[in-house]
Amino acid sequence: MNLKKLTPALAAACLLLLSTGVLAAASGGLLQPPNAPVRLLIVDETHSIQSSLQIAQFARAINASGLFELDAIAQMPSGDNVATASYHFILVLPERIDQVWIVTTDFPSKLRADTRRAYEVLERLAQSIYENQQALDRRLVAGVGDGIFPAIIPGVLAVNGWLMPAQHLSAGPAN
Amino acid sequence: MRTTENTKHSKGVPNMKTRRWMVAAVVALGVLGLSLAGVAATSALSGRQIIEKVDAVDTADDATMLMSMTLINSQGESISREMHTWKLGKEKTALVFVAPEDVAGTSFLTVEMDGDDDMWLYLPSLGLTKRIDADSKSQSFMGSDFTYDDMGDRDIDDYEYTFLREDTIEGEHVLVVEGIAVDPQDTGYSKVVTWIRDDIWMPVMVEYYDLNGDLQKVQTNPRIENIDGYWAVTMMQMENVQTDHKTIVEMSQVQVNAGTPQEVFTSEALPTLLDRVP
Repeated sequence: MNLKKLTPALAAACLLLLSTGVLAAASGGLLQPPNAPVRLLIVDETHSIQSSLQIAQFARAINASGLFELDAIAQMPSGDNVATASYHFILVLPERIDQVWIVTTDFPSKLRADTRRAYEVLERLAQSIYENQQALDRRLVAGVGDGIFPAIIPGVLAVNGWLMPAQHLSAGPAN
Repeated sequence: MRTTENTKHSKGVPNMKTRRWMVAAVVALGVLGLSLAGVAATSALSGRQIIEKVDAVDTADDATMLMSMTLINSQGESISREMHTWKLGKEKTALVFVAPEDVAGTSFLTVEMDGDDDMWLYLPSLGLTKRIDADSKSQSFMGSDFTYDDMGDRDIDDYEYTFLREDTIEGEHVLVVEGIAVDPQDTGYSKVVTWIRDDIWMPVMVEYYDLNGDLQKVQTNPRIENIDGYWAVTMMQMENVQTDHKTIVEMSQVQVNAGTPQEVFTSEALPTLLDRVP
């Protein structure tokens, strides 16, 4: 699949706009102490047995890394998150698009060191499972700078308390 | 006068040897007549009628069993999985993987309602129960040579049937019926040919043909047992002749009419199935 990348300037503009909204309206999302497990929500919108068993294999690898506190749901969250703490990352397997979206409220390069490390592990695991030639459910792994959907989704999810706001994830200007 | 078996005693009366041949011929004709009568009676059943008899075989109200599944590749390497299954009639099946550890707790539920299948899957590594597309039934069951459809009770209306011939397998008299798929894309097969024991109306062998009409898989049921009055296949083998891969499934600890609670066959119960394994 050919992935249309947003130019860095446009991507940054989108995120700046979204982050502004996040700063203004976000609620919840406590500042996490260093080395605390990274909270990850997997949204599995697939409906076939093969794709489901493949994501189960992916989840086992995530759990084995010891870096994440993992939750999962079967469709995109809507409405305000009133039940759980916000997540560092949300990983989406959309039903009709052959991609895996790893969404967060800032660029991976801007994340705090421990959070960035967890992001990189997650991305590598996703690539090994889904970009594998032998995979039955092959998908391209995309982050917030890699497409329109992963760029837009974080703003909505952060406003509703599903994603942690950027200021709780980022290393700050010194990074 | 010296007489022998080959000497006629008098004109028109057959000698001993001739009489023996005549008796043998009468007996042979009698046997042939009986056989023909049997053939005539069996072929009076159409292919559809034969399959309906198989479908009508009495099954227990509910049954539980332990299943072991061994997958063998073309190099002879094998992996095994163990599952516990609960069945309620032909409409409901709940299954949980017991071993190996990486799949333990993964569970399935199939409920057939008004001809449609409702399928649910629980993934313990995600803590997620989700609904599965019914068309997933033509996919491989956990990497084996059986599809989910192969493992369950096939809808007899998916095929149009023709009685082909009688045959013998392992000394058992069988009827051979060809089924042409009504919608091959739906079934995943263009044709199936089934060898059926007509004493107990149970299939002993099935050939599956792919969408190109080529032989793809051969299933044999080398062990069929009567358990508390109900006939059950307790060993199945599926060989994919195109990939040289084989799967053997054995059932043990079979209990019929064990009183499985209805709640087992709900999507809410899936996360608890591993704890319910006796």
